Amino acid sequence: MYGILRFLSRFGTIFLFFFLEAVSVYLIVRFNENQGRIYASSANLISGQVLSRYDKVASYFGLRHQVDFLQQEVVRLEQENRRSFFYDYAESDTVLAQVDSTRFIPMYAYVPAEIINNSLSGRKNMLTINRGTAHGVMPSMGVITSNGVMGIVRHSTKHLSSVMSALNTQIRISASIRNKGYFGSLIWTGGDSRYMRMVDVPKHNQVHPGDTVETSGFSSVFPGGILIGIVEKCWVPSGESNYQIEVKLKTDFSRTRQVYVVKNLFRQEFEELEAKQASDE
Amino acid sequence: MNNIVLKYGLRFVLLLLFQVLVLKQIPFGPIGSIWADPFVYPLLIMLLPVKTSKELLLILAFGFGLLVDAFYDSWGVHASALVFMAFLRPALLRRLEPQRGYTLNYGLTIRRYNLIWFAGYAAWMLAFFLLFYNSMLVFTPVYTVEILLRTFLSFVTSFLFVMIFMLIFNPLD
Repeated sequence: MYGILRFLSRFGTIFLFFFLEAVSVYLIVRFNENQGRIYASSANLISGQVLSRYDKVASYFGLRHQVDFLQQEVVRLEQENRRSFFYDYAESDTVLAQVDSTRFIPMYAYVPAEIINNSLSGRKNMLTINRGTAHGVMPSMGVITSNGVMGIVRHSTKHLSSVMSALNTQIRISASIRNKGYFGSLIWTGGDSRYMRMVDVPKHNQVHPGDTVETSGFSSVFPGGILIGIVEKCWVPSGESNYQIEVKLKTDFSRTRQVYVVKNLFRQEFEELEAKQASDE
Repeated sequence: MNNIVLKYGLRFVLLLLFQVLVLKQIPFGPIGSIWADPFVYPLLIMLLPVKTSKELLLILAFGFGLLVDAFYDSWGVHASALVFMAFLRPALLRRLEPQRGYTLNYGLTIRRYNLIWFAGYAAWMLAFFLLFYNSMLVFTPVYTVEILLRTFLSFVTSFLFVMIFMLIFNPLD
């Protein structure tokens, strides 16, 4: 009590001053037309700014929800994409008269996932995603982003999977040049995380800087036609018969968080085939 | 005690009437587009004895300001400016303290001190008052130049009237 009184006796005048000024300003704004108008417009200005700040913060907290929603949307669209289907049509006609849309059966499905650990610094880079066998993720499935390929699943536990990054010197991804059909293998030689090297393209082919590199679809891992990058430069080393093609990746590996695991719905058939092949040898 | 209240009450009425019946009716301007309105009524707060408590100063200023506002139909503008002036009065008096100090019971008049001292004191008080008054009147920092011009022109006429008023009546307290 004594403290309050001492405080009031010290600052009471200042409080009284601000109180009386506040009352005055209230009267000014309330009963004077001009000042009231000015106050109203600037108050709107200030409150508008506060509200838009608040909206920014609030939308930041809503981002998680937005990301999930957009990932679902990407999956839905990707699964509607024709490259995710198998064209089940086998008439022994030389001319394909018409595309029969009822004969498209789904071949690829996608599981949205998020990268929870990633490394770029080494030569054998691995990353971890937050989906595992409980979500249908299994080893040797492909992992793509909305901008290109990310890697191949190596091991899965119930809720997590480790993925061999495309930036791993052991990876080989079957790729082709868009609209030209030449195919080869995409490897990573280490170093710059923005580039991969495409090899095994015979030198009689015409490859030019600016050509688009995409997945070939020659494996059960990735559907064909997924954009990987752009040819930056290409050359044939003397004494060799194949191109060395420097591909600038579309995916920024250092920033990507949202990925999609490619589930091949024909996986069992592929495995059966491989088993038969193996028994042949 | 009664004597003091009566004296200040009378002065209060006189200043108020002079302000709203005389000064308010005479057009001082416009000079360009700016009016040079003179204000004499802040004298009431200026002349109060040094020992007047800060709280009483503020409350008197607020009440008197509101009354002037009632005549000017500008609720709060005069009150806020007068409260502002009253708030700064103690600090100003500390800075302007004459060598032989203040006599606490005396009013701050020419006869108690001297013309030069009073002129300086009145100039500062009027400057505080008019700056705040014009800021509240214009009410937007967009027209800062106009606020300063108004303050300057008003200051010239107000100071003139305040000094004339003091020299004519020349009150002791």
